[in-house]
Amino acid sequence: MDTQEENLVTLTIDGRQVSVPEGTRLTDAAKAAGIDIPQFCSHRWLEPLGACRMCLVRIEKMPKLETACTTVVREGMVVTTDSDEIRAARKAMLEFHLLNHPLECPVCDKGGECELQDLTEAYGLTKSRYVEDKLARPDSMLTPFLHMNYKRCILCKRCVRYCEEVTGSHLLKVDQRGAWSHIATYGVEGPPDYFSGNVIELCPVGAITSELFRFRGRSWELGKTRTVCNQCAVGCNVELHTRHNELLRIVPAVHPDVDDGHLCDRGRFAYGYANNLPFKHPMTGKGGERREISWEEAENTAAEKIAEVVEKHGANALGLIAGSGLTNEDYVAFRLIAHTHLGTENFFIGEGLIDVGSNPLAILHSLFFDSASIGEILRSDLIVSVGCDLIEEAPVLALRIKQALKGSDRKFISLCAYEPPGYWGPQEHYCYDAGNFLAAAGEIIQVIESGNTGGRWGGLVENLQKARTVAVIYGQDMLRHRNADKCLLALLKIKQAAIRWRKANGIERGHFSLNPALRSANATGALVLNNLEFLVRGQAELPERPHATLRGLFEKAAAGEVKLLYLTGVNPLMTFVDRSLVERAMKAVDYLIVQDVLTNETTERADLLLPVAPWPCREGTYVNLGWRLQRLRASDIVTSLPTNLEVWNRLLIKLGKGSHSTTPARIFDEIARLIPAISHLSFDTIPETGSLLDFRLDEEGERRVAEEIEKVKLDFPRYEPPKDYPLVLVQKLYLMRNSPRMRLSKKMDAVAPEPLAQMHPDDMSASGVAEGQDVVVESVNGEIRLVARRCDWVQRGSVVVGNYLPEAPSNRLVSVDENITYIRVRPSQ
Amino acid sequence: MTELTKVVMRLDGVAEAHRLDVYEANGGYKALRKVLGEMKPQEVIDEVKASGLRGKGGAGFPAGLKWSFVPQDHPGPKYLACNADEGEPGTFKDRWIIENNPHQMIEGCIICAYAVGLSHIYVYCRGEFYEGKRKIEQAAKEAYEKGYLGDNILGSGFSTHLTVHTGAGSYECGEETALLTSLEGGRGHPKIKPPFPASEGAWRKPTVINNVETLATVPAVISQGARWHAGMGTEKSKGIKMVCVSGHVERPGIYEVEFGVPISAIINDLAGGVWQGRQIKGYFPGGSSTPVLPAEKVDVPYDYESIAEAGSMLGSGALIVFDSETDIVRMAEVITRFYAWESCGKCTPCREGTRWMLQIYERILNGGGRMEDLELLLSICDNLEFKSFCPFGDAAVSVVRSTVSLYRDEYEEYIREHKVYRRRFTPVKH
Repeated sequence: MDTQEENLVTLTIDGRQVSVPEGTRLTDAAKAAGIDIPQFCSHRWLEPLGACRMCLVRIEKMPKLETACTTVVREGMVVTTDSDEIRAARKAMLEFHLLNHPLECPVCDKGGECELQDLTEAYGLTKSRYVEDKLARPDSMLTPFLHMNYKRCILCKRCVRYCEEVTGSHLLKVDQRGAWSHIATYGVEGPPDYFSGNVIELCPVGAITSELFRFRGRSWELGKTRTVCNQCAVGCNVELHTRHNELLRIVPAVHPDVDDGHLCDRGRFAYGYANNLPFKHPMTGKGGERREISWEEAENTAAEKIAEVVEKHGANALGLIAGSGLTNEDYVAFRLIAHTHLGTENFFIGEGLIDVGSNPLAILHSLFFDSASIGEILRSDLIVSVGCDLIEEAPVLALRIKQALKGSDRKFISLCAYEPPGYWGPQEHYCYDAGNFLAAAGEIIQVIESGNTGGRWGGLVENLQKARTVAVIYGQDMLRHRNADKCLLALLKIKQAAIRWRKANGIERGHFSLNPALRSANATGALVLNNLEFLVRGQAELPERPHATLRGLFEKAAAGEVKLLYLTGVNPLMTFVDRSLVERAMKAVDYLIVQDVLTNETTERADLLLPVAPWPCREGTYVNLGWRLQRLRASDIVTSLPTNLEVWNRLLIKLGKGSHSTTPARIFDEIARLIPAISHLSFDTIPETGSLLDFRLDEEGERRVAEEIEKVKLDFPRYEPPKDYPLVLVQKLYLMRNSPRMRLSKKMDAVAPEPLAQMHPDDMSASGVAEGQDVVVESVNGEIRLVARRCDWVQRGSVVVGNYLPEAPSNRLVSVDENITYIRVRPSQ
Repeated sequence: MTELTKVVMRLDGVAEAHRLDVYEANGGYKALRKVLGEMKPQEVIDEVKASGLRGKGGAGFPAGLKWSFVPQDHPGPKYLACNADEGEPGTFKDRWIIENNPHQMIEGCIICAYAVGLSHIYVYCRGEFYEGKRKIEQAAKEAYEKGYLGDNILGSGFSTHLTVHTGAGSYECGEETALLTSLEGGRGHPKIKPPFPASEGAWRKPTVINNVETLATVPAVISQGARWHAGMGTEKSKGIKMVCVSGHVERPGIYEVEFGVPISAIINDLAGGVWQGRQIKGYFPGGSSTPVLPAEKVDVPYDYESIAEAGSMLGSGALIVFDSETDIVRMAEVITRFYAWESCGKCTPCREGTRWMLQIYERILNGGGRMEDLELLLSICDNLEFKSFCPFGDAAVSVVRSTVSLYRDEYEEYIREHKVYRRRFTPVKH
């Protein structure tokens, strides 16, 4: 691994001896010695620039003062960082910085957390010698979120360098020259930059500020709560800044093994919904008859309906689903309520992408035991994203992979139905025919076994064989259809074949990990807790017999076996693979109870709507895609809405079925006893950095799993399209998808993806559609209306469509009974 | 009477000297044939080292030594960047070479490429040198056709190529690392040293950067020998230098002389003395970025060491003379304006300091000066000098510091009498 001996260099800084690894910059060496050297342009994410000249120090035997940020330590170096000469020089540099900087700290958003302000205070610059006119340029908007105040800019170029060196988006540049230099955009439409918000914290002054936070509060007046972002499964650590019961902004809280301080724009800016909640009271009645009711009435109604169904049709006529954005504590309670208190086996937790039931042992083992932490993924020799556009599905992980590639031999490749587009992308692309991952897997295994590395999969296989440690991250294109479990098994077979090949060729074997990039914040936790019975066999308190699958549950509802659906935090009309099945199920049930925060397609259809507190008010734990258990903390926003636990508890009481704890801490502590991976933890002792869940197997265990996978019989069928539907639907997840959170948050519409049918040019001409034309995309199951877009990265024979377009839901085209969704595209009218 | 020593300028006056046939008829490319036919690369480097040839771009660094810094075991590619970004006010020698004798520079480039093992020559040409750029391209085309450039040059097995790249008209791109950044397609900002260009230059490959005049001298050094070259000039400043004389002299122009002749001789004998029979008030010995020397120091010998001892620098060889009628404050303002406008904006002291000084000058010339402005100017000089990222900042302060110290009375007169420069002055755009 990365544990090679580092050569140490010893130097003296201000009389203190310090030993640091070779190649360390002087600023970092000083920090190691506990000496702070001021700097504006340097940043740990960025290459040194040496522009602000604040870090001038005296190095013995050098004729001039040198900048510490650009100096690499040498053995025996003697450095002075504090003397009259240096203080005078830094004061002079500060004076230069302040020449064109307006003295408007009282109205500047950065006041209180401004590096220039702090240093000006520290060096006691109280009077300016500058009596000339300052340069000025009217403010502008760099992006819908970034407000640029040119007057305050000190041209440290951190923002420009971040967009060049870190994200590679080239969003910003410097225009003009000398004192007239200023930050600018290129003024042309480029690929979206999902990390632009990070330049707000990078800016050492108040030049770039958040449009959403501007003039909303002073930094020292804000309540600050560290929690975990709930927008995707990466689980970036964030800080909620609140004031007067309002969430005013979200800033990153650095977690070295998760986000390293980066945050995507969705995580940073899509919070407005929390101050703009559509439901303040329970509601009943459909359509125009909808009316607000009291909690008392709502609870009574729900209890009555549940009791009625149980009485008439038995407990199994109750169908309960919990979405994948709830906390682990919610899930535990949900399981117990569903199974023990209500006694139904028709309950489900999570996204339902992988039907574990078809081969529980192999699938669960791969899910739990083959996983890697984010840190491990980043250290792997080979990172493979399978069926996944990582920047859209796990943005900060994608960014960190990009960084991990810098200056290393590490490789990042993609195996997908399309070539994930954009500047951040993988170094090599391998494409399987859309919908035919299984056939491709069969071919890949053959190539591995034959040892002949030519042809379509040769490069991919060579990569798999060469790399010592491999990290596979698989995403939506592999997961979001009915064969997801088979695809996962096929992936396991590829892994086993690669390992066998290495063993046969005497190559040392490192970890070969598989991590799913699931869509929602706690989808990993949902996966664990949905399948808890497999993990803790023999524990008396937990049910042993398997419960329903998501598909099975909807089918039972559609068939009239389930009479009442109780959905918590889930919007299956958009997220389940087959929309018409969900629609049929919703139509067939007698009563639909929806417990959620925001308006969505499902809440519209609820007979009874129970609003709950939003994410900033939630306590509990999440598990991220790198299997790190992290604590969610409620901010100081006081809400009148109950939590999920509180709603369920009151419902149980109304039903006369006992009660349940409403304290996440108690639930966590109880469950911790049962799961060995967290048995050493209690809710209050979860470290701020969370805790890695280690399900890793020993060698014996791995051998047993390998045998188990070996035993699985798997076909690798190739599906061919019928004549009248010649194209294959590929559904792609977009980070900025127009989900309820985005719709109800300010400004987010500016970055929402367009409803596009992204096609290969050949398919466009074959279908008779032109660029930008309104088109109808239809399958045997239904049709949606989109706009045609020519895309080089789409493979011939497939159409890539966003899978969360409220106006054109792609799951309308899909039937859960078909292996592949074949479609055709025609001009509309 | 001071004699001219025409080496780089030996074809001065020869018609159509930029053409290959004319150049060849006058002994052109003989040095290259000699090098390829008779000398090993190391011998060429040793010869140039022994000749004492120093860089003529401003710093005066020994050329042979610079060449020897390039790692020989590097797998390549390695590059030569010929610095034709001549932008120093008062300097026009490189322009003369590329417009009138481009083949001599190209020959020098090829010899250097052979000596150091460089596979590509980039001539980084100043953006405004339209004619010069075309002349080099024309000359390179001729050289390619004749087999002096390209693969297997003159059957020797050595190959090198030449590309002309024009900048966008930035003074800063004459600084070697900014030149490389610009050559790579980036904004013309200087880079951190180390790594030095000789080990990590253009596209992070070893790169030799030499001035046009330096390279154009190389063929003569090879054909006439190191001893010949070393025999000229002074002990430490060996050889010859093209001196660009401008300002208040009767015959401004380029005069190629041996190092060590008195500056007064260059001004009086070659350039015809101060114009209109006036007296000299002072002069820039090496272009606008070197400190002004007063009239009393006009007899200083023209070599690196003597001029340094007198308190200035030989720089790029631009001798700018100003007569007794010159308005020093206005002159300093003009030059400060140049530096404010040309500062690349990368580092704070240079970006802010140059404009600040310009604003003070404008105020003084508009009759709004204060006595404390003189101390302020000197203090800004202190804060800027040796603290900027590249030597640009040091260059920008030299005229301010030297004129405030030498001609303080003129500044004080402006301030005391609220004198306004005769043409009312449009302030720099804000």
